[in-house]
Amino acid sequence: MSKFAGINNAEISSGQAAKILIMFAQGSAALILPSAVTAIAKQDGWLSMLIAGPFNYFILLVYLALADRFPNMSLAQYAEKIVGKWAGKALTFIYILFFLLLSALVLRNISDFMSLSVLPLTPEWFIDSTFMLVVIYGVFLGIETIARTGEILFGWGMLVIVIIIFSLFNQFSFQNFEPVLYEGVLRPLKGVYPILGFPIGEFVFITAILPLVRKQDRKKLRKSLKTSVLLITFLSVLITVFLVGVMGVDETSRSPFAVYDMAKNINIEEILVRVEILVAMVWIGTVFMKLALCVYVLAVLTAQMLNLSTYRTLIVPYAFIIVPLSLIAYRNVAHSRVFAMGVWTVYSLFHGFLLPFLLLMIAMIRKQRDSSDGGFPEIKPQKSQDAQQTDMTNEKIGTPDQEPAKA
Amino acid sequence: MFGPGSQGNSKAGKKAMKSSPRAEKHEKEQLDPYENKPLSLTISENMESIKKELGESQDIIFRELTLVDRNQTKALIVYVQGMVDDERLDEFIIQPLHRERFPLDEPVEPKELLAVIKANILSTGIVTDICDWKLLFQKLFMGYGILFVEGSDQAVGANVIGGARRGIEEPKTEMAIRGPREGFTESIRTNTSLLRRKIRSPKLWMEQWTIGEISQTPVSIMYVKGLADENVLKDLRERLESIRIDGILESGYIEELIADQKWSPFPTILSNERPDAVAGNLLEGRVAILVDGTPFVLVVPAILNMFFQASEDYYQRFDIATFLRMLRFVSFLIALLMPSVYVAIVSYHQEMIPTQLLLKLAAQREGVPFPAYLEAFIMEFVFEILREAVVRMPSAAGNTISIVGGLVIGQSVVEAGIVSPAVVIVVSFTAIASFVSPTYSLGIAARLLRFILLLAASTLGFYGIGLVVLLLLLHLSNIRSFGMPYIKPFAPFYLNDMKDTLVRAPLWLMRKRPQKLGNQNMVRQDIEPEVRKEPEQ
Repeated sequence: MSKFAGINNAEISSGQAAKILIMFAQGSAALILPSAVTAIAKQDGWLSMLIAGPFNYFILLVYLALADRFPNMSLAQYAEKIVGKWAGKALTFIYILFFLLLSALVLRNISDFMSLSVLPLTPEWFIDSTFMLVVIYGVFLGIETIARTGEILFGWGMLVIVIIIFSLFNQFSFQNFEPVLYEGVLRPLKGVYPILGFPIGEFVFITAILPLVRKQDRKKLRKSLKTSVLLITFLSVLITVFLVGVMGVDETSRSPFAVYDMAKNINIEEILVRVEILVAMVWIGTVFMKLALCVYVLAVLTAQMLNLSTYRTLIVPYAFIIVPLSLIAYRNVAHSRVFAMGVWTVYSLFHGFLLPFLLLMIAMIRKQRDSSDGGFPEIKPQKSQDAQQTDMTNEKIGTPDQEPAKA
Repeated sequence: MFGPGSQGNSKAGKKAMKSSPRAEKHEKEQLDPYENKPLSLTISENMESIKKELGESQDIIFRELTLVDRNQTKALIVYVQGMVDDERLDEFIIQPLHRERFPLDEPVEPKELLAVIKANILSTGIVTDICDWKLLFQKLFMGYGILFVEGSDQAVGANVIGGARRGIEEPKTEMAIRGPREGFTESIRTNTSLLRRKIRSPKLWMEQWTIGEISQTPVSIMYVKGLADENVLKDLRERLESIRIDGILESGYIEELIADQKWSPFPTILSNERPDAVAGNLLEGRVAILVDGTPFVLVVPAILNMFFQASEDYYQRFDIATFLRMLRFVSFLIALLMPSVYVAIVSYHQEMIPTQLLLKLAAQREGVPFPAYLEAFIMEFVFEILREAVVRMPSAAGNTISIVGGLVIGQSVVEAGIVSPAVVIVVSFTAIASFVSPTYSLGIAARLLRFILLLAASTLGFYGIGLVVLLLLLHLSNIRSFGMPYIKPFAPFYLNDMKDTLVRAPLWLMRKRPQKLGNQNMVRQDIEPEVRKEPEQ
């Protein structure tokens, strides 16, 4: 068959990468994070969101710098180049654990939400498993499919946000924001803390996506990512502003799924009432994107660490780990709040910022650059054994400094 | 009938000859008994062989005659009654052979005689040399008159194709208020000529195959050279040549055999009955596949968006066309989702219903013995039965069925309190919405998926609908039609192509052709430079 047979499932455009980032950032955070932030920063929560905006991009700079040095490799691959084979594999293993836990937590988010608000009588494991089935299908189809689905879901999500925002104008009250900066600038600064871990630290997933961006789109990549960071910040601020404006600080910080509760307030002429299920539908989509990306990165990193020829065989086994793990990860929603606001930031920033930063430092000191092909697992099955071996030898030759490697 | 299209005919004949070695190569594997089997030198032996091979079928006519050359050579004309035009056979083959003085004074070899007949006497447009049995039978059953001459192991076939065929009529499936009234017919030559009349450019190229080991059906592809993507063409040729089947009775066979997605409810190949719609697609760089014996012409690559377009959209003002487009999209969503959304709301999310309406619904459902999802299932199923019954029935019986369906089932089921009126309203509204789709094949997808969604909604409410819709989205994002992502202008997102999707932008804004189709030449308007810039092929 020709190249159109749908096998080459491994190229996305820069615009798709940007939309993936937005979906990932707003994925589970949009519903949960605002209440955590307003609990700390009270009515200045929106300022925290605004302050956190630039950090979204700062953390990406590290990944982009690494991607400049190793344009065709994912984290698992350049880690081996930078700190050596075995240390690199150990590092990848740490990331695998990180993404395993992250996947479980994201899955738990959706089942918590469903069983608390929409389907109170359905057991959590059933919701978890059905959702995981869809995720398995999505990850199995590959990153291109996930990216395209993301584009559709992105449009749908934006539409619903606009609908909800417009329907809530009549209940918006500026009094809820007063007094601004009541306890000085320190309080909104403290509010940034949970945002740093969730979702900013988790952005490290994009190290496995960047090498898949189409070669001719690489130049546009920075611009698209900047746009997406702007949009992420704008959306977070908008959501927080409306939460506080409509529901007030107390209710916002108490509600486990604030946007969902906010949508319950919609009431236009007694006809358009209780459309919160729309929010739930959007959230199913965004959480799906986040979870699919996590599982995809998890499977790809593992396959690359173990030098497998495809990541697809790993999806179902991982699903069997993720579903039980999500059920035992924490006890209840209150527990998860403490976990997300206290522990998670440190854990996630360690993986999301510290380790990549150290890798970048070492690579800069050792002046390492390598544009050899990372040999993405999906392409490998087409090659014969010999081709793979020559591939490996090529990589070995490529390791010593290929200086002007930038295309 | 073939007057203006004669140029097309001869070209087609040439192409057929060119592509025949390719087809023959495949058939060698099948050990065709007629392949390369030579004809006999005597007429009587040939006639006996034909009679034997065809089991003395009565519709094969053998006309023996004596030529008026010096030798008084015997000749034989064979044809299939009903497949040739009798008048043309008389006028262009038999009469000249009888009457014309042969321009020969000397007696000549039978082979030369045949050449002279071919050159000077037969006055039909297409004349073919025949030297083996395979070609003989192929031409015989296409409706050629075959002429044998005593002493020659060759024969000559003359095109006198005729016989009763349906004329050009208004298409039945895609009616239009404004637009051309002609539709494709069952004859492939008429169909190709209809397309040539729309696009009178030397760039409109055609290739032809004979597919079907037994049915020997002519299948052509037509495209505008320079606009159609060469990769798509190459792919299409490969797929057509790899077809091994004994008969092609309708283009549906081809569609199913060459489609990228064998397991998808969504059509990845557009079938259309309207020459103007197909011509429009050719101008956008797509490829048409014409099959003899069916008025349905296939168009590839087909993306989801194309199934919402009617050719009339382009003949009306853009604002009304845009409105109709959106109406179709919304109707498709209603046809797909409405019963499941109803079931989800009534059984899981009652809080979404305004209080007044909720009270009404609750009062209706008082005393209904079945849960909402069962009601919906039953009524949907009944509707599908009714629909199928009406489609296959003669129109006289159709009226009875609609009375029984509408009055007996619709009304009495509600009055008896077996099904609540709300479900009947939902199901009938869904039914009407499902008829809005301009293409039949997409409507079928909605019909099938509706039941899956209903199942999901009755087990998990909106969450279930969300999951199935996600699965559908993933599936739609994954499938391709000849390399083209199925939901293309939406994802991957192409702003320029969005002008012809949910909206139909004014023609003066649609300056460019859809991306990634005929990428050699993007500009649609300012046509002038287009013809000049063609790469030489």
